[in-house]
Amino acid sequence: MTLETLEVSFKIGPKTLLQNISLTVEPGQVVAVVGPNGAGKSTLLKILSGDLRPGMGKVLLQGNPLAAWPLRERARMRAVLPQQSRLQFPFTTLEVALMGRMPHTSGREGQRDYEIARAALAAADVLHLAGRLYPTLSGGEQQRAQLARVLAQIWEAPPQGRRYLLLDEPTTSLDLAHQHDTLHLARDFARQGVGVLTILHDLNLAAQYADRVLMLRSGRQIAWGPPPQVLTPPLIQAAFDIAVTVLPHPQLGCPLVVSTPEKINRN
Amino acid sequence: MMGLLIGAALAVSGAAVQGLFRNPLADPTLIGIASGAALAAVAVIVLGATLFAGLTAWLGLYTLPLAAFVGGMATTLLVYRLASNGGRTVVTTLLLAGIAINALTGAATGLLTFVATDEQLRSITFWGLGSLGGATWQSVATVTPFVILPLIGIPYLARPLNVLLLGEAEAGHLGVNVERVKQVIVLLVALAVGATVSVAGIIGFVGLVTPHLLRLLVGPDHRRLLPGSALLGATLLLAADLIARTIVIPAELPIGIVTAMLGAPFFLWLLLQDRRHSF
Repeated sequence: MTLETLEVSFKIGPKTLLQNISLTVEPGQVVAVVGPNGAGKSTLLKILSGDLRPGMGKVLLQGNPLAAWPLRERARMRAVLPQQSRLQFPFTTLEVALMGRMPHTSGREGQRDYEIARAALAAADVLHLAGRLYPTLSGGEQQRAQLARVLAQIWEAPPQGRRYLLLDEPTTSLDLAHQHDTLHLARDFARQGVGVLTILHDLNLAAQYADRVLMLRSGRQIAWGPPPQVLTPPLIQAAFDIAVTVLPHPQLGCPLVVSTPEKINRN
Repeated sequence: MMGLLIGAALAVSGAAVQGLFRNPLADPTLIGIASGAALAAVAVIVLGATLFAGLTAWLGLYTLPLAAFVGGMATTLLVYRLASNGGRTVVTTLLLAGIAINALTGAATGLLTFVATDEQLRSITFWGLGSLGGATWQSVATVTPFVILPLIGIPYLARPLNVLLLGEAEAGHLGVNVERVKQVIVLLVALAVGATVSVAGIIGFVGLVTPHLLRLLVGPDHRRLLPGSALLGATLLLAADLIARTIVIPAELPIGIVTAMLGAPFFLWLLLQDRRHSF
């Protein structure tokens, strides 16, 4: 049982944003999507979340077409972290996290929802901000509050069993420690059986935390597989037009991508 | 009685529209309801005796309220149609379409005012300022169903409105049928505002100020905000009505003047506050 795309293509007018992308997000795995700006990473995430419908190909959730799932049931199984959220109204951070419980409750949130919201805030390291008003938080704190919201949404496994977490550049406005904290959390959730897909810009974060990497360029798949097979100098050159050296990480053994600037080659 | 109903309807509509547009400065008049209703009413006042003679004779006293109501609904549907594209409504387009329609109906109303006779002008002016003076038990009975339905219906959408503040995509990810919620809210707001404009003219600022005051008191959660707005809106309009009736005894000031006098400075103060907090 998975979340998968089968030969998905997406066009806007004459412009092809995605072409023949097939990928599978399996429960228990972290999938990283990497690629230069405009490669179609966000479009792919929007197709997986159901915001966009592919022009061709299929998106399947647990073997059934994504669009066939009722919205609420879909919301109980998968959560989506947007790149940024412009919430201007003075909700407290706790109230923002509680919004993640929406698909699980009708009417007022119960004791359990509050417990989960607080646990999610603690996991995202923003529990100390629970009483603060969201618009007064810094960019990174807001991003972590939103992370707490989507974690609260899929905190417990639904009766049907599976959960999926889609993250659109979850580390963008975070400091180094919180970048790693966030991806550690993603790994923890994967360990509990959640299928995680995350868009990442930092190839070394992908190398360190992903089980599989999808490398895109101009809407096409350059490579798909475990990090050591995908994060190689020729493939990175093909996707990003930049020469790199790949070393084994001294402690973790995963690939360590180092740019070699004198050989930058842009046409 | 009329004051209570209208105050509650305008305040709840204001709160709902602010939530829908994710903008605390939005107002039902923005999406064209009030000005559309005004145009239809003015058209009936000016052209009623000639162009729509048959209609006027048939509907009698109900002509003006009905025309305003239909005008408000029609403008809202038009703006909504302009702003929806392939089944999705873009909120910024909706707002901009509302502004354009407001300008257009404003110009048309101006044109009709220009050709109106002196007697008609007095009627237009008085009505356009907003007044509860024309309310009778009969007109209360006429608009009550149109006001009660939104007053009961909108609070049911409190939770979807809350998560809609996160953004439309985010609300969808949380299982909310965003398009359906938007359509229902626009329809209910058009009902409520169209009905109030039809009996009392344009009473501004109640829909803007009430939810604002309440957010300071109970926070932005629509589950508290919407019922609270109904109560406070009714109270505020009743107070404004009291002022309107007593300040120039034995005459009665149009209530729209009172709400604008009190509401507009408050609105400006809000803008200043907003600027201070944002930067």
